Amino acid sequence: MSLIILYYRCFDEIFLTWDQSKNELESFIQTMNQENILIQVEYTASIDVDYLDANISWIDDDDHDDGPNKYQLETMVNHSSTAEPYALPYIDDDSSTKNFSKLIRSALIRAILSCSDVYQFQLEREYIELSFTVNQFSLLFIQKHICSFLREIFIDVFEFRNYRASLYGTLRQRVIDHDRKCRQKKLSLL
Amino acid sequence: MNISRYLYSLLQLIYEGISFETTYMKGSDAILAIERYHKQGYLRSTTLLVTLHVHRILSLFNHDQIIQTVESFLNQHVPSKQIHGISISTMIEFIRFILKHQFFIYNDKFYQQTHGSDSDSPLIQVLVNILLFDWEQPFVTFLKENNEIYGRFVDLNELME
Repeated sequence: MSLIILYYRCFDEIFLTWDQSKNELESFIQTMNQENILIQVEYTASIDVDYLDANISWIDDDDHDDGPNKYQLETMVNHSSTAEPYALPYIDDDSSTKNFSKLIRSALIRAILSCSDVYQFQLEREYIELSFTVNQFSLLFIQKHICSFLREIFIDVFEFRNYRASLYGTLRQRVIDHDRKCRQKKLSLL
Repeated sequence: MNISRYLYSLLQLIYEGISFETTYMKGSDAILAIERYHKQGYLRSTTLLVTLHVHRILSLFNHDQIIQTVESFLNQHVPSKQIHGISISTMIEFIRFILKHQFFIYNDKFYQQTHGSDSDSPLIQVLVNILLFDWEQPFVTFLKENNEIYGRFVDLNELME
């Protein structure tokens, strides 16, 4: 039976899904490491991984013990790779321009793209607020930018302390579409 | 514009056009891909999430090997044998010059860098990307033959809509 797997690489970091046994994965990695003595890979295989600035977990959820669908996909921003906790989120290459409203904007876009769940998003929004507060920005300044971003992407109906999943779902879809359009633009320039 | 940056812009153009099916730009791309994958019911209770890290590639790569790989990559993917009026052989000579002229001073001694690069300049990044792209092809093919690769082409289909 043929299985569908994911495979992607970003520079020296590779992400893939594996549906066979761990032994088979190990022998696959061994083959990779025999190909070129100077190109050696180390691997982690788990149900909870950090990949670039993303955290992805595929966990057995005890709370939803009903039927076969008790596994839950949970996604969030991975902060462990940043140099210090609550450092300003310099995500894009061009954010070194000290344009802080742009910085808040890209942090929010990353948060929304990364968090499939509204609760994870709200935790991430609090993290963003805290990061900027630690770096001497007033809470008012930060929240003003968060609000204006949400108003731009969405409509002013989205109160940002909102925990309604359906509203967040619509907001997220818009950000995903926006991100896709940016990529489409980039592809058409190639 | 210096020569390294100029070469980068030429090579990046070719590389991105070839590799976009299996290339991520950021972590959230992985999240969106696995969500779609899950939505279509491919994620199973036994599925493992795997990350691979290529060990110290920037300081370890072999200069002659990377030059050779980039040359055959360009010959394979650029039928006109030139990009913006610059021939492949000229580009390769420039790349060779840059890689073979890396020097540094440590403890009052003069050293030449014989492997890898101490700079993570955009040019070095795209050269290493081409090296790794070439290196991963047999494994991607192996995975494709034994499984079905679900890659960036899904995004493309959505883009067409």
